[in-house]
Amino acid sequence: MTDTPPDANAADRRLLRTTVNGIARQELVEPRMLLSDFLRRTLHLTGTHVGCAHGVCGCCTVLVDGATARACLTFAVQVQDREVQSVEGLGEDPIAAALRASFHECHALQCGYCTPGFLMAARQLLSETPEPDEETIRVALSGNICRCTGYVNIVRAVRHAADSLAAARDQQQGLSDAR
Amino acid sequence: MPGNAPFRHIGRPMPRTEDARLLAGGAAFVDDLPELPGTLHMACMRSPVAHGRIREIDTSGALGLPGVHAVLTGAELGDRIAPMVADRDKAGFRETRRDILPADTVRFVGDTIAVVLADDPYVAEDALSLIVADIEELEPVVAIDAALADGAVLVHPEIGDNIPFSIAQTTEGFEAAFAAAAAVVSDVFTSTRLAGVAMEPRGCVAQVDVGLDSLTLWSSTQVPHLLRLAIAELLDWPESRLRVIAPDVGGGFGPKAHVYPEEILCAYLARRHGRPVKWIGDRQDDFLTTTHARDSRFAVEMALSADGDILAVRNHVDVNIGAYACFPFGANAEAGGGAIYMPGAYRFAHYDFRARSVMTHTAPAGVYRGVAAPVAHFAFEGLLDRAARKLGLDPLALRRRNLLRPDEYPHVNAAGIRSDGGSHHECLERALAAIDHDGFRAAQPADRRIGGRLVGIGVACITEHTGQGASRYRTRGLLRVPGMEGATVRIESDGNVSVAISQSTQGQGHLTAFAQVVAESLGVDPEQITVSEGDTALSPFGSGTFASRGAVIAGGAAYRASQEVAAKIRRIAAHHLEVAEGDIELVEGHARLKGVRQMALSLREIAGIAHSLDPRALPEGEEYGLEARRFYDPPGVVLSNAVHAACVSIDTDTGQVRVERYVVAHDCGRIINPLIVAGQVHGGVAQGLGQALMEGVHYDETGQLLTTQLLDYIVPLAADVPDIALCHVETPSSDTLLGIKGAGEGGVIGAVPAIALAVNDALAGRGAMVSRLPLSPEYILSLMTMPAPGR
Amino acid sequence: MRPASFRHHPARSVDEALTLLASEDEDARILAGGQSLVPLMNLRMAQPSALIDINGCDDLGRIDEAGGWIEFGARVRQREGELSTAVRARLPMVAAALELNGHPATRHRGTICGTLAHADPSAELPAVAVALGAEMVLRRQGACRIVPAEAFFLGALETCIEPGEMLAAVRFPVQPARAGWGLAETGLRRHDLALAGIAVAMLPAGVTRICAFGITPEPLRLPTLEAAADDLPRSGGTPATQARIAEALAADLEGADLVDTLHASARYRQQVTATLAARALADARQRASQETAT
Repeated sequence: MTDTPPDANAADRRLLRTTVNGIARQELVEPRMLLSDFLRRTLHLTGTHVGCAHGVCGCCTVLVDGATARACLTFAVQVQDREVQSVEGLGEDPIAAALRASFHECHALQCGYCTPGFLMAARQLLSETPEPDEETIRVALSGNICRCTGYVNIVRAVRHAADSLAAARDQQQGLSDAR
Repeated sequence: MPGNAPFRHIGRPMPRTEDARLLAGGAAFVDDLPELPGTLHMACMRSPVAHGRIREIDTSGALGLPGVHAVLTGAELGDRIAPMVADRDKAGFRETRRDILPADTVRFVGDTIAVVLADDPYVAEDALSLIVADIEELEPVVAIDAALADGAVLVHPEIGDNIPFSIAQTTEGFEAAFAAAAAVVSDVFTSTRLAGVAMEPRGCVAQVDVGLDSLTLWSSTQVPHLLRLAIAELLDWPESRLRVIAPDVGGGFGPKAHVYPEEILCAYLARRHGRPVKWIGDRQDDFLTTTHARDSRFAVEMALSADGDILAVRNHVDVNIGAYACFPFGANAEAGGGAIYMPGAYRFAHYDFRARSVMTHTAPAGVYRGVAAPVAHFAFEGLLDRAARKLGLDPLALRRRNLLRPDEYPHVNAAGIRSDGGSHHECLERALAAIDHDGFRAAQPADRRIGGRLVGIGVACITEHTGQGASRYRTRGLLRVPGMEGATVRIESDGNVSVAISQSTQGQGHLTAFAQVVAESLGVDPEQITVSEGDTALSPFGSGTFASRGAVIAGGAAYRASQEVAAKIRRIAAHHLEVAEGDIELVEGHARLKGVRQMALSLREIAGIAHSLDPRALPEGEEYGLEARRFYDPPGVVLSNAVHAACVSIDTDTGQVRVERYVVAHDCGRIINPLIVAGQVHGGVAQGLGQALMEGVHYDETGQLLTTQLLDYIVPLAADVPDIALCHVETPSSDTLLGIKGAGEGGVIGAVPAIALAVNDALAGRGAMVSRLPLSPEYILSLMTMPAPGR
Repeated sequence: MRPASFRHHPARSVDEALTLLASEDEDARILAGGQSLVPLMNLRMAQPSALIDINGCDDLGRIDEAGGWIEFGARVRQREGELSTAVRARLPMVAAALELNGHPATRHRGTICGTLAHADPSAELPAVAVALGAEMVLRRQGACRIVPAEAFFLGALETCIEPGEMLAAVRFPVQPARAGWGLAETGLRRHDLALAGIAVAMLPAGVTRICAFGITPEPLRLPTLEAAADDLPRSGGTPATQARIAEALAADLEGADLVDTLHASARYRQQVTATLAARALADARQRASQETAT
């Protein structure tokens, strides 16, 4: 926030040092500020959406030190000295890039509100389980709610991304074998 | 062009132009818009009781909190905002009013009784806890029967009962047809109240230019033009000074097609305080105050001949619509729909219906994807299963016998709805083949049991009322719904194409689909067309996005406007190329003599001529500019049809139902973009699965809402929805431009009965058939252990 | 849905955390993963005066194995326990319970001790802790007491943790070779909070411990069923076996305060608990016999 409202708790602000999408940040925050608000309101990174604010819908999923976490259930002060990645910071990540391409090609998003959270959950899955079967994908995505797609094309897109990443790995392997 | 001409862009499974920014986190939902300087955050205090009289609301504590700018109550507001009125008194309808900020009477848990404006959303919420409301609690009515009982407490005493809408109609000769039946089956089918649960809760931001006294309101709405109309009416503000913008909207599904008090309050308070006012609802607000739906009861009887011909159907529908009739659809959308939507794919001549809307002290209910149709078809298909059992007929044979054949179209059904076509038999056979019905039956044991599970298959044949035009809404008495849509197509002076549509999009891929329609007319790539929606300042007037009307009506308007622009391009090109207009074709961004590459003018050149930026002049008599604004109002309603087939299994220990396989064969006429249509069907099926198996809004007997979180109101997750196979059958409508029919709601309409029928099949032999939704594990387990009735 | 203000005290060690806890009032709470507490705070159903933040307490972040016990410090995330090879090998039912708890994104933050201290009736881990005979390490400034899991849970969202005290660790006895276990539950959806569930720990000496969850406010040991378990025929699922299980369960539930909500009645919960018990017992037996074979 640019303006500093004269509220009673102003005195209790903490200096938060954290890294968000690779950029070191220092901001004064109230302890009660949720990470979702820190990203959205303080840093203006509005790609992280809030769908329920009680940890059920998964829209606000971000990465803290590389692992998925609910930004609505994390206080900003809890990411002191940590690395946070939001959807805006996934640009170069190869798994995320494959997922974005597959989501587009497979029509795996409609309104797009839940999409950043699904990208995070799917990225977590593929980073641990590069070639998941359909059941594994469905279970791994069950912490995120989508109301538009019926999950059909999301599941297909994650499969598709896994396949394209595997093909890329095979190609890489072939190249290094040839050398 | 409609007819046999091959299409270049219409029908192409083109990935959406909308996606890139959504995938990169660059979307702009209301709460993502950069915060305007000086923004005040609004928080709403909701009534804690279902029915009560406000004695006093003490706001002093809240006002004393640093960071709080103002607190407003209904008493203080007085009559500065007119009440919302959705229906006027006329036959069947009673006028009721909704105060934007009630000063005296609260009518549901969630009615807004005070609002706070603060510098920060945290402080606004802090302030709510400092407001002390003294409310005299009155006896509420919560359920349909209580509201209909003699001497029931009245929600709106001025109308004399709790029935703001009722309608009844009987075909001539009904009683005789009914009396002649060899068999009659009947049951009462009920549906638990639902919430739409768009992932983005409602929200809005209002900004006033104090000097001009003009307003811009960004809102998560499906109906920007109707919202502007409502603001103008309720705040007595000229529409010419009001601009409503629906930016990216995170799901709509119907509930966001209503106008809400918060939108009016933000506009009012921004004007009053001269500062931007922002309200972002949270999930609890959403469950409390966003319209619910489907709290309905269908008492249905079906009379059949011994051979299984449906002779007559009686349908008595009661719908709990909550405390207020919502603008713009009013009190009748669900009840009227419950009566009208029931005659669908099947032939029957005699119909007797009575439909009533019943008011209670619960959140207002309104339109939600499919409106009453999912439950109407659940009831109808449920009766067919009962009829098959009673007559000793194969359920599928009974359906084949009664499904309308193509040669019976055009057909006017027993509710008086005309339809130009229906491919029910073709869809049925395609769906049966795709789900391997025969293979399933061959493998299915007589007692349905495989291991610890019971397996069953269900096949439902449904229709979907789409593309309803002005005449249809007038007939239904929905006078606040215009019915038509408008589009502006403009070639800018540099030859690029801008399109503005009267609707708003909540994920349906409008920007891509309408670009495909316009590209077809203008011979340019869809990627080069910029489509905008949701902005009343940019687009012609229209109704909005609901009731599967986008592709049909807005698509039709875009087509008309682009055809008009194309004609002008041809005239200009023909003039300068010195050939006949009829010999000009528009391809690859050029107007050229058919087949002759060298004889061509680019759109850029023609745009230059039209904007007087080219040495060449416009032909004599042509107006400057290259744009057209056209409206489209289709005749009546166009019916899409579908057959849904579901395989389910039931855990015999727990009663939990799992949908194992799912197939949809559907016909929505000419398809603009099959990817988008498939997405609509998938999403609809998942919502139908939710209604069929798990979703439910629950109030206790005092009117307290029990389901205020996503832990209590549960929706399907990825593990609950199977992959869905689709068969597209494409029978263009002869009634609409381009032959398009709508596709937004068929998914949910078909899924509810298909899953229910599959469960009936899995339970076969146990005497039980499902009659109420959702099919919760406990309900199913109770049916499994129930003795067979002597039906 | 945003939390009310609170005082925030980051601690770097368990001793510092206990000192801070002692200095605060009765409404102070420990903040570890926050996955149970923060939703309640966002709903303003919980408004702690202060949070002692133990996320910086590295001394609470260890999984230690010693003397036949595996001990989880208060900052050990659920995901760490779930993925730990020691836990998967020697406390497989704990790993299985953790996999059923929430979703990866909540397990990355949520702690093992946190879910125990939250004591949600539908949670798996409290019942597993009771079935396995886990012990709770409760500390306050200058004092420590060990409470068996069975005595720890007092009701829905209610434990014996006293003001000024924190659940510093939980320890589970390593399961001996040839031990069997079974964990069965059912919900409204496939991956959901449990409406009812059963944890079975079958020790080689013929000792079977069975604990139900979701059906009563606190995890409930089922002594009658435990006593009957040995006599039940090995093939579960026959009507006769089911009837005996249902009978034993009914005896164990006599006078119990049964959970009854809009999603499932007490009757339903009791009915499915019996069939879940049959499944969990069968699984436990099968695992015990597999262990013997290897």
